[in-house]
Amino acid sequence: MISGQRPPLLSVRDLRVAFPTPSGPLLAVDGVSFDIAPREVLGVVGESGSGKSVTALSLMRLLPESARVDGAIAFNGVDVLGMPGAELQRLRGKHVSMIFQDPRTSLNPVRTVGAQLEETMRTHLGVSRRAARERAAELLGEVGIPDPRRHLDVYPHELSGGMCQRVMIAMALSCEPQLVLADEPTTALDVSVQAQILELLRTVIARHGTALMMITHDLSVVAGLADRVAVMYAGEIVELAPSERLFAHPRHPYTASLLDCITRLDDVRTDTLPAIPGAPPDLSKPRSSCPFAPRCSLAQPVCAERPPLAEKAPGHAAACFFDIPAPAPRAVVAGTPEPEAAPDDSAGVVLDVRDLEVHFKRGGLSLRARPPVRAVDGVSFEVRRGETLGLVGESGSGKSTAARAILQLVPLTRGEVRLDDETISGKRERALKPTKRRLQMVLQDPYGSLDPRMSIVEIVAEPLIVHDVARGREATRRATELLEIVGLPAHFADRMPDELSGGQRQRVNIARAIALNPECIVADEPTSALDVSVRAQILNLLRDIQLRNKLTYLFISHDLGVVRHMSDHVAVMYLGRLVEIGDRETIFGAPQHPYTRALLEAVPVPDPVVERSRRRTPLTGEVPSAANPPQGCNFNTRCPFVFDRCFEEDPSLIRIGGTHLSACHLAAPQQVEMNPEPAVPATSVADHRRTES
Amino acid sequence: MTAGLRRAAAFLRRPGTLVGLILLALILASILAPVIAPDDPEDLVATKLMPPSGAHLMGTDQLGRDVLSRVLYGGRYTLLSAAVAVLIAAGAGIPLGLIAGYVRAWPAALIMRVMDVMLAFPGLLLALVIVTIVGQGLPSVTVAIGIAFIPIFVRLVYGAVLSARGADYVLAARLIGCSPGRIVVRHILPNISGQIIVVVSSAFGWAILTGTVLNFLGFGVQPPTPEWGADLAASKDWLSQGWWACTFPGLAIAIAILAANYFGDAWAVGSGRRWRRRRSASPALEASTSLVGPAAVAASPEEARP
Repeated sequence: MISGQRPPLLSVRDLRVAFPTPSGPLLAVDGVSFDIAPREVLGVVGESGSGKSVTALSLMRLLPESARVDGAIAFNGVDVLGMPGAELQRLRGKHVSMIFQDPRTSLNPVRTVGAQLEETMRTHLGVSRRAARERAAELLGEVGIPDPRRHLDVYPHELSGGMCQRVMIAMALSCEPQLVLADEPTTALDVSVQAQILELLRTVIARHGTALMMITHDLSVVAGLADRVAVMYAGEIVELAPSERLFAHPRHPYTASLLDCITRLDDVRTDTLPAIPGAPPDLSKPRSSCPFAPRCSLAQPVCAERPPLAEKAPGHAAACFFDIPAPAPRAVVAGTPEPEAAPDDSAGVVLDVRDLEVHFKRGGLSLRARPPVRAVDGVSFEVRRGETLGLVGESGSGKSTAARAILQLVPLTRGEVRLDDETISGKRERALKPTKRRLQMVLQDPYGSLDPRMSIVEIVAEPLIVHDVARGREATRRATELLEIVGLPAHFADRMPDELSGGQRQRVNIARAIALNPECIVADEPTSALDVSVRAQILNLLRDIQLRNKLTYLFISHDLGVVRHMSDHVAVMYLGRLVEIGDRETIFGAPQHPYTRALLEAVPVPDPVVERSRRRTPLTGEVPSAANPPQGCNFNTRCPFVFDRCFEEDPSLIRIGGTHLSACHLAAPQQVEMNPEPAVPATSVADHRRTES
Repeated sequence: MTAGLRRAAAFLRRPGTLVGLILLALILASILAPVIAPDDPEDLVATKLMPPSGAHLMGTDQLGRDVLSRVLYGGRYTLLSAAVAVLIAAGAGIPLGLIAGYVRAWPAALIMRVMDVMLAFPGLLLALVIVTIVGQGLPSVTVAIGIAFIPIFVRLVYGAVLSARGADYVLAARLIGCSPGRIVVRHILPNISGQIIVVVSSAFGWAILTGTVLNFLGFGVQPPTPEWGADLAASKDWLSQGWWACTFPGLAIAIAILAANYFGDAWAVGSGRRWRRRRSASPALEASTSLVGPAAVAASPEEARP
């Protein structure tokens, strides 16, 4: 145990934080103890409501006044909870600094980046304006901001999210703190940018000799970064161990199941994900038993007592009465395509999208027409009956706009959408009503997508009533049945949406989508707002319903692991275009397009050994603006293999074999098909015509 | 204590409750005027300008009529006129706002430009113009105020619909094939009803004010009909001889407007707190890791006031 040798930098003992609520105190943190040694990186992992952020905020005494904080926090041996105001300010600015999740809201929008950096240093280090400016430029250079001097004078809105996070990191390091608290620093970022920021954190933390407390919901993110990992559940630390040991042999059932239900890219893909049943406990109720017991497969009568955080192996503590055996070693390594029956290519095409274009005109006072935002710029694909096509892309790739255009929620600039050979694009909303019985959508945000003034059963019954399938008591009965199907027992029927958890709300969304028994469902990031343990439940539910109702899915996600789990075919979007499309094994096993490859490389894996040994060629830069895409290949600003032709000629999607298409000048078509009359491709792309700009 | 009693106790402790009760008392007193008023408001029951006494609690006016009875009966005209005016304004303004907000395109432009023109005139002036055109009398004053107040509701509903129509639940309703009419009536209207109620309450206050001003100026009721504004006008010349004759109608106006305005605010706070309480039923949400989560829970009822 690293902290055993040296006196700890930070020591937390039996921390309890309670918030008063109308229904009694809510115990957000319940007896948390840990140390952070100098230069140590501690990862704190937990789902929403686990108390991880409240713990971090209480270290800085940033909680609201009404919070009741008990326990002891000592920084370099000095008591933090009893610290007077002036000393506390020095602690916050100079010795401990913080990086928040959303860099855009944590930077002051009306002051330049340089001014904000300089202010911190001038306040806490007492250096001159000139010296502060020098140092600020140096720091910006260090965090990978090109042309740092020029960037001192820009405002935060002129920078991308990734750049803002780099500035935040520079600011956090500006006074050479001894400890940096990073609260979900990469959660708001795209996966390729996340990889860059993680790499940056790793290097600057090591160079500055700073300790880091990294808070995240994603075990994979801390795997390569943390020396030790603390797993939190319901306000407690349930497991605390050196990173390698924790991932190799989790000793708390929660950690073990959490690792199981992550859709990782380097593991055997199974049709059903192991999921943790149920939901975390109500923190406003007093707890005396093991908080995980109701969801635990190992639970015994003894679990009605609360297990202490006890050492199970040297340096490895877990709060469980039982010893969990080490998991069997995983056999399959990254990139090996698994043998699996090829998807049935004979099924008919349900959804046929051709040359889809959605351009948004931009308003403005100037009379000169500004170029439109090319959100979707010529996308074609087919989805066959009973299949799932996964549509992957980073934010700004146009995947969500494409989904909305397919459902005719935004007007198409060009192109055609066909559902069962019937053209649905270009119709008026009223004429589309019969289509909606066959084509449905599950929205991303489980909190906003349910009408807060309607009960659950009313929400699910509404499509039945609107389409005259059932009314009155019959509609209620059918809706209750649908709720049963998605795993919400009858007593949920009369609840209001705000009485449900995120996962339960997403179940209601799914029940509403299947109410009319559609053929095809477009799911737009259906699990991205959910916790990992709940995500697996929802993914399994979507799969079960697909088999049961023979549904066709267009599954949109930024999460490659989830897409790999759900999809038969995968299409990768970048800046409004498809760059690669093919069956799952090809895309994940032998991707051809440099973007697909880079994206796959950027995904962190919950395994410290893999993460640390991994040679990364992270994508540089960020997605360019869709209003002004690069000339030639639109990936040429970030592509590691870029050459002359990429700037002159826009590559079109070419067939490189079977159903596999890629839009890259480097992608070589495979030899002539052996079969003289090739089978109809399962997911083919029509001639990729486009209007050249 | 049963849940019902507890809820009743909590209801009584709310600041809005007291104000609501005052407003209710005023309305009830007006309705029950024939039962509780000591005298006929138009009868000359005593010597003129008698100070308040046991026989005439608010004294008598310049013609010897009982002021208390006149205030009680006057409220019937004043409050009814204001209520009808608000009904007219809301009845026309809410649908227009819903159409402008949801349909957009040319109906929105047309409706909103007309409303902008109406808003360019002060409400009182607009009502005056309408009364001049339509003619005098309490009905025309009421209609005039109703028309003059339409833009208030159109603008409010238009803005509320614009923000609500972007919500995901509206998108979800479109996805299942709800007609625009159903989306507006079943999904958008219930979700903006809280805001509408607040403005209805305030508009009632403004309508009382505007109505009494028009009556004060003589466009509304004609003597000897009792009405707060008209009584104020009639007795103002005798202020030095008997303060009570115009003070009590004036007080009635002030209290009614204050109560109406404050009731709206109190309602907004109360309904906000109701949502908060409901939301705290889901623990995972409340203990959410964001800064907002704990802070939102921690906001005690006292802090919830805007």
